[in-house]
Amino acid sequence: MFGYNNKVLIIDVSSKSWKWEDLEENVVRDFIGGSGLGAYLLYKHCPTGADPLSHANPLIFCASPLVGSRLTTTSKFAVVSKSPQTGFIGDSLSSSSIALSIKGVGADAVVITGASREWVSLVVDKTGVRFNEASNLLGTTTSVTERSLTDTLGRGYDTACIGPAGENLVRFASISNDGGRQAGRTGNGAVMGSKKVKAISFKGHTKVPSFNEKALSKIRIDLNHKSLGEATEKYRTLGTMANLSVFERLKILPTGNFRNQSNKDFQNISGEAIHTEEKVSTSHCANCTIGCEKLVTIPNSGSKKVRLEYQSLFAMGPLVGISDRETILKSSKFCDEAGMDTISAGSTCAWFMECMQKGLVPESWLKLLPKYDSEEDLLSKLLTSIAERSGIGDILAEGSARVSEEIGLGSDEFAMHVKGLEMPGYEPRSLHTMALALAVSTRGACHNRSSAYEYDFSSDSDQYEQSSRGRMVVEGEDYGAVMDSLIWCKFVRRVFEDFYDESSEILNNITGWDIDPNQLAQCGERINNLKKQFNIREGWNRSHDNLPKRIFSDPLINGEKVSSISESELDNMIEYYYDARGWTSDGIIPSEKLVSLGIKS
Amino acid sequence: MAINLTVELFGNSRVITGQKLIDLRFSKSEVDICDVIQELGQRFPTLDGKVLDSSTKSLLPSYALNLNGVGFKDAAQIELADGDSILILPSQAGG
Repeated sequence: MFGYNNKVLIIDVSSKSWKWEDLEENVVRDFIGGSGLGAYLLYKHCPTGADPLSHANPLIFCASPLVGSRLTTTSKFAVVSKSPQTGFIGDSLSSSSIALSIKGVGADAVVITGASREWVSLVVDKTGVRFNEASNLLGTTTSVTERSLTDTLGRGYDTACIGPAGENLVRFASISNDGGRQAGRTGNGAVMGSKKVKAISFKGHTKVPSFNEKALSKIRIDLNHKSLGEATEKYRTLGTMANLSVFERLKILPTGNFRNQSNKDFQNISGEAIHTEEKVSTSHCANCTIGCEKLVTIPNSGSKKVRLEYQSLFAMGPLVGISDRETILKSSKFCDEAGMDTISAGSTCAWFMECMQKGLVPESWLKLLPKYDSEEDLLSKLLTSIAERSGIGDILAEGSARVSEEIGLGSDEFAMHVKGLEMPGYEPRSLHTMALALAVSTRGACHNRSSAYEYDFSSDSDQYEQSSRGRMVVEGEDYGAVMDSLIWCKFVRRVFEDFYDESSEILNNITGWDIDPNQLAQCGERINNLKKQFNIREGWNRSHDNLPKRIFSDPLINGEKVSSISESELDNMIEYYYDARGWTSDGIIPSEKLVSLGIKS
Repeated sequence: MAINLTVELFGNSRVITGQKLIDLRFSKSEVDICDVIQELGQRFPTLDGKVLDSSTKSLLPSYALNLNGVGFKDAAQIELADGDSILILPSQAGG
């Protein structure tokens, strides 16, 4: 089979053994790779009801058919497990050389099962799998771990690792690779920590051939050219940081734990201000022409740089009510080094700070607080204590959903999460298509799996019917599932004139298949249905598709303009969404639908 | 009669010009987006080819228009009135 190795590497860290399993062609024709193949393997390898932080939960790294094609933005991989934040499917994507190395060892996916008794660092190369002792790496940051393994193993090895947060089972710990890129969301770093796997390094030795290299070469040149055009201008110039000033002006920048009552001016931390006033360089993932990554030199920190993007800027700044640029840059850098998702970390801190302001924090917990002299200092100390699981951080490391249930006193109404995953920097009271997408996403409050904000930022978005929004989210999710499985970077999406047409042609040139655009689109539908079916198997019910109470109870008032969404409006949109999916009014997938998609025989 | 408008720049358009806000005054009773873009192009020639196309008096596809911060509009839909603010924003919403 062209484009694939046809193999899955299964590593059991309990018994320190490994084996290769065949990957059938019908599986990859149905689920492609990346996030889709990861969902299939999770469904297969995760026992029903498994504790996400137990040996039973598999941690899956997936490459894709486009990895190694050298097409722009395709050096990407997915990490999938049952999320310790949501108890449902947890999938996140990251990028760069390690994706090539995973495929280069002869695997389309690597499934890590079991749990080691002592800390190990896994090494995968042409000799097989080694389980190296890793106690010397304990407590080290992600960059130190990666550098140390590069020094030890030598050139050609690419490493994914956890930092102290993953070791300490912070539920929103991330996995870091290629110099600080993060598989950030849903807590896969905690799953890796629960297996006592500090790092996994790959050195590739094979290359998977493509079916029609000549045709691909022409497509590659054409795509490279288009990727440097207007469709990616924002990402190439300011990166996603450009969102901040726009969102602030449009009154859709969530601030102060979504209270949006801040009088602070966040222009000082806009992408434009940072670009103009700080030293900023651009970085590219392997085989990427766009270069959205902006490395900002942190003031008063020597030459330390932070890889800054909008969501980290938002979560370490406006979300926690902080506008001091240096604090935001340092906090973001700290999270990357500790291996923590900035969105969930910032949101949990923002929720806790509001609890403190309202006097809801139990006396016994207040005694665990470090001394602080400003909000900025408090944020810094909370983040440190979370990563270390020391003092109050041991509690907050559970995330806002769990801790708010413990505190009670109505604090759950402003814990800004869906299904346990904290919300990104898009304002659902103004962006109603996004509101629906956040509520129904299988991985919790996620902006990336649907990109539904695209619809809200288009002309006439105010006039969309609720039924249209239901269809749009289905369309956006299925499109996103195909992108995340092939895998393309989302930032290249506008480069395509007809995404399914062009992507099916590319996939056929890589694999030698004859898949048509409709079949490719159906893969997206199948993948989303499988993810949902996994969640149903793990206890999902209709009440899980919802938004935090604050979104309904606290409208945004800006002069004469009131932005709001009611619970019944959201319920109606959810009903339209289920209908567009062909699900029951309770959001259950009918048996015949599962059969028609080939999920159930 | 004159029409006074404010143009608010975001993204690379702000970086290129070094300006957040630009006040425009037109000594006529009806003004459309083409007039605004033509005026911007004349004041800031460096925007041509990067943000706007002065030959067609339109924004490049990488930029979008918003009127007074309340809704996204195609250029043809926008009716300008004295005191309006026109926002020129990156059209890619992702991140």
